[in-house]
Amino acid sequence: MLLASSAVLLAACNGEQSMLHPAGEQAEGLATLFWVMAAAGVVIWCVVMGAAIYAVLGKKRPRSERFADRFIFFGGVAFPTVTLAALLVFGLALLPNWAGGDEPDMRVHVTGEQFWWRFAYKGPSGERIETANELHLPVGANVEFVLDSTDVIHSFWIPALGGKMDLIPGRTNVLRLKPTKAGVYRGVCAEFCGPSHAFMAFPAIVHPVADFQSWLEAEALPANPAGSEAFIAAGCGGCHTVRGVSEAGSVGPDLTHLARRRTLAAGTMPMTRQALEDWIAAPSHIKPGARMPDFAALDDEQRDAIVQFLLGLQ
Amino acid sequence: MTKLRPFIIGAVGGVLGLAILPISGLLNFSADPAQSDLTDLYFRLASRQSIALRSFDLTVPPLDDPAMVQRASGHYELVCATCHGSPAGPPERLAQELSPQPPLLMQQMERWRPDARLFWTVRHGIRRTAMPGWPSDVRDDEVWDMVAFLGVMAEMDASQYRAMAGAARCTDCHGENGEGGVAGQPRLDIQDPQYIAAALRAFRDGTRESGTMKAVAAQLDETAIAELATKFGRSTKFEPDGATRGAEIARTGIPQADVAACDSCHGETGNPHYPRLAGQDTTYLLRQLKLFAELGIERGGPYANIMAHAIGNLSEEDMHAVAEWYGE
Repeated sequence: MLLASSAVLLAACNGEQSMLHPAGEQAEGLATLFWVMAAAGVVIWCVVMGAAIYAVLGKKRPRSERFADRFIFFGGVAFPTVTLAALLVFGLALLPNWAGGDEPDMRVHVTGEQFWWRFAYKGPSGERIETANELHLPVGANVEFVLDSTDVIHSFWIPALGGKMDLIPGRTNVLRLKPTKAGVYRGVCAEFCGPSHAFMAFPAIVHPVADFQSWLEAEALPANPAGSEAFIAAGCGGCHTVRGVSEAGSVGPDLTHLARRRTLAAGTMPMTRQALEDWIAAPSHIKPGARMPDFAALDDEQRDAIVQFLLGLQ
Repeated sequence: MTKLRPFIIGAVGGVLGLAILPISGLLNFSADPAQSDLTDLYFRLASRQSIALRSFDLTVPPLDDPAMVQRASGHYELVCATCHGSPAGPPERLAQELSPQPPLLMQQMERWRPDARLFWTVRHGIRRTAMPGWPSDVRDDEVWDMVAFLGVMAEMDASQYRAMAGAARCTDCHGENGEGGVAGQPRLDIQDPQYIAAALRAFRDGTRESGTMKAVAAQLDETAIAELATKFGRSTKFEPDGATRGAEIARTGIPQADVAACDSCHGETGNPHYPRLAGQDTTYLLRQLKLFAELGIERGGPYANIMAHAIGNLSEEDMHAVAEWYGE
């Protein structure tokens, strides 16, 4: 837990989850807007403070009525109108193209669920490939995210790549992002969605195009079924699909290549043996309100066998 | 102030009077049959009114299901008949020595009506008498079964009662060889012995909630539990068939309602500590589903946490579908 929370705090110190270190086209526009606004804000603040100080400390010298009228008109009407209009134009230009525009290079279907992310890609041969809690994107691609939710309103936000968009039950939203720099970033849920809202995050990994293709091909493969007996017996398959092993349940995250992911429980913990053991025994202690039951009642041998199987899901 | 004086004196006098009454020792608390009727009347009135007040806003569910009567009869024979008598005979000698005397329910049932008051009495018991409350705090459904049974008991003759209530043996409810057959009572022959042993321990320790089974399991030691588990648990197999809604839920769950695929745990590949459902009594299955939906983890049992989550937001309609798919 301590590790998880310090990871969250430290995320603000590097570029991983920062809109000020843009790694996508949309984020660059937002960052520019921020810097222009901040700089202009500083200038205006200095002028206003200067005027205030002058008014208090300056020599009291009578002014003509004509000067006062002009000062009020230019300083109080003309300047704010021009400045705000310029900001509005700049801001509007950054709005996404609602008409849809050109066909995207790829689509990723994102479903927000309490408290994790379901991601679905189109595989090399057009099939649907489901994964969870870790997003992979090719650099330079114009990616369309198709967003919906099964329970409450969530919001999909990768600050380094662009603005956020809500996921609303019963409605499909669309968001376009174009990553420009390869790297590992962090996405979060940006709309309070329940007790573990703060533990609903995901790594967003932007690959060079060739690396992305090989990731996708590997992701499309079925899992290694070796040692799945304990996983099957405990009933894990009732909620989790592991392609090639158990495909009955789809209530919870797909675990087909779980061990390849960097984090466990939607960005909550690093993917380690210890974390898996702790998670299986008591998800509710790690993520309050998580839908997964505690498997504390299983004996250690069974839990170890499940962890061993999961670690083999490369 | 002078105007208030009589009231103040009256209030102080009243409080002193109430305090002095018990201190004085004038109230006779002996269990002698010949003691003054006044004290008796006083406490009987208090308990009657207390029950009336607390059962005032209870909603009485339908009680005309013969299965309810059947389910409660065994518990009545095992626990209640000792003091209250039954169609098969009067109370035991010991009970006749109690004071106040437990009512003979074959004759005096009407005094404890209506059903809401009867429920409250069975559920909570009566202070300063030998009447205990129901052994489980969350199984109001079992208490209503008992109310339904009490409603018809007086009309039974000894042989009818004997046939229904049996002699408080496992086989009376669960079948000669654990094959069930009594509506609402689970068959045991489909389970693994490990499951039955764990369930008996959980009932005995009160970690799985059931007043009926607690009364039975309280008498069992480890040897008896092991014996019963191997006697009844035989993992008999059943194959449900048909392409119903229940079959679909059992195989794949309902992802949008967070309902897990039942077969993953309850099918043949599941942990033997999880109960098998194929061939189980339909009424029992439905009742357990409702208990998990209502009580969640409170329903108890070693794996209640898993089921309380796995049931998700299963609708009542789908509970019927699932129970009918697995049930016999």
